[in-house]
Amino acid sequence: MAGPLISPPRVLVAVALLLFVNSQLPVRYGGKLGGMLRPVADLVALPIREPVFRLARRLNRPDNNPNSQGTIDPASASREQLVLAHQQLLTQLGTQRQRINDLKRQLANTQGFAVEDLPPRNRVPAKVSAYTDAGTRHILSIHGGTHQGIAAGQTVLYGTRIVGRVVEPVGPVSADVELITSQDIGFQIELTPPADPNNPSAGNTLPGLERLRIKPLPAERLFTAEVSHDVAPPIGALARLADEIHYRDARAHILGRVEEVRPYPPDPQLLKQIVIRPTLDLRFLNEVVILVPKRVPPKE
Amino acid sequence: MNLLVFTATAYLAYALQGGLAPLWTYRNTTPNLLLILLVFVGLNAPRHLALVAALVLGLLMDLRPSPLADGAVLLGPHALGFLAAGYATLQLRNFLVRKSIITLVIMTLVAGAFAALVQVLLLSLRGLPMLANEPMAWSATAQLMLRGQNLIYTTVAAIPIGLLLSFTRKIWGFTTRGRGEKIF
Repeated sequence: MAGPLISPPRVLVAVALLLFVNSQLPVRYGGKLGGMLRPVADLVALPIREPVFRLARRLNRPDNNPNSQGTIDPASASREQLVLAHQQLLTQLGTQRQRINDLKRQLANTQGFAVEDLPPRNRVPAKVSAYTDAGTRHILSIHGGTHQGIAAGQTVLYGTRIVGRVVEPVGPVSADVELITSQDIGFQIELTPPADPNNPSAGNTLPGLERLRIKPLPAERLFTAEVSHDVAPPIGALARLADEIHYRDARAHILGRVEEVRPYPPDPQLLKQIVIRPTLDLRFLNEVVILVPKRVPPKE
Repeated sequence: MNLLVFTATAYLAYALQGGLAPLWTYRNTTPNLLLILLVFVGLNAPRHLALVAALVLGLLMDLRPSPLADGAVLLGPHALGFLAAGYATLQLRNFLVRKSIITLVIMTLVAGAFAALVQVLLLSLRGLPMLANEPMAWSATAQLMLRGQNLIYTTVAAIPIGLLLSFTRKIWGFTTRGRGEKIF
């Protein structure tokens, strides 16, 4: 005698078939259901995932925030320690003001990429709640979404450094950021002399190294570029974004530092290959900033 | 099997999978908590529940960031990979000592291999012109190598996590064998 038409094994087979069909559809159709469910799953997982990520980061990764280093606990510090800390903070404040002035001057002089052609941006901070290595793509999950004005394609920064861009799906309170090291697009940079990466006004572009096209190596989380022998940059030179198309609103932000200059294997006589490594481990940041375009009030 | 316990554990595993990344990511490899949970349930739960659990855990894996361009979330590759892994576990479990940690570790390796093969196959098939015609931007061999590294790491992680799951065996309410289930 035949079994019932709808039985658990048959339902399972039907679901498996549907999933197979879904997995072979173009992304614009097959990704719809997943795109709807992903923000829900993120919302549900966030209460546990975010504190765990922060705790795990504190246990195993050095804090990338330069401001948090060398701090003292005010409750247990002596008067002398507090006075010393106060003096140090005043010095830092003076340095920062100087840097702001330098930056303003540099912007006024323009480096070839003034920001007047872009709409104003808000800097929206968001906590990082997870990191995922999805094969060729490196993804940070952040606690911030459409409620904060975040949308796919927006640029993500950490201080003066470029982190990546927001990708779909963006939920109400969660979003994914694809790290710049994992993207297979090449973009242009310029190289400036070795300096403190926290200092945004660190010198002019090295001659012959303007608009240099680089390629990411996602597996090693590095970038490479080829330059001629006579303009090879010094080790430690800072790479800054200078692309007219990709990350246009993050021009002059730091991508990384020149780690190695070696002969270019296919043509060692003529060219050198430079290897650029990000100045931070972008996978384990605690917080990032998203450049969200300011809303323009509707005209009456 | 106690479905409430399964739901809570799956939720925890899903949340911890991304949250623990700074602690346990070594180079580019991370262990897969959901796979270990799948093998634990597959070794102990009744057949139909084990398969449903495999499908649910696979769907949760699909909801994690994927290798597809622009962050597309495609339901299917992991779900079917986990279903294949769950089925393989069910086929082999009667020849194994189910409560042993060594069994869990070995089956994590075997089931994970099935899951990885199915995932890479399904994602690679998308490149065919008569199907989605959206080829992946990676080499299938390199992906299998990467997943193999992850699998070895997962197998190592299965020892402490398996022990932890074994301590909670009582609250899972596993029956020794389902009604009508064949031994061989």
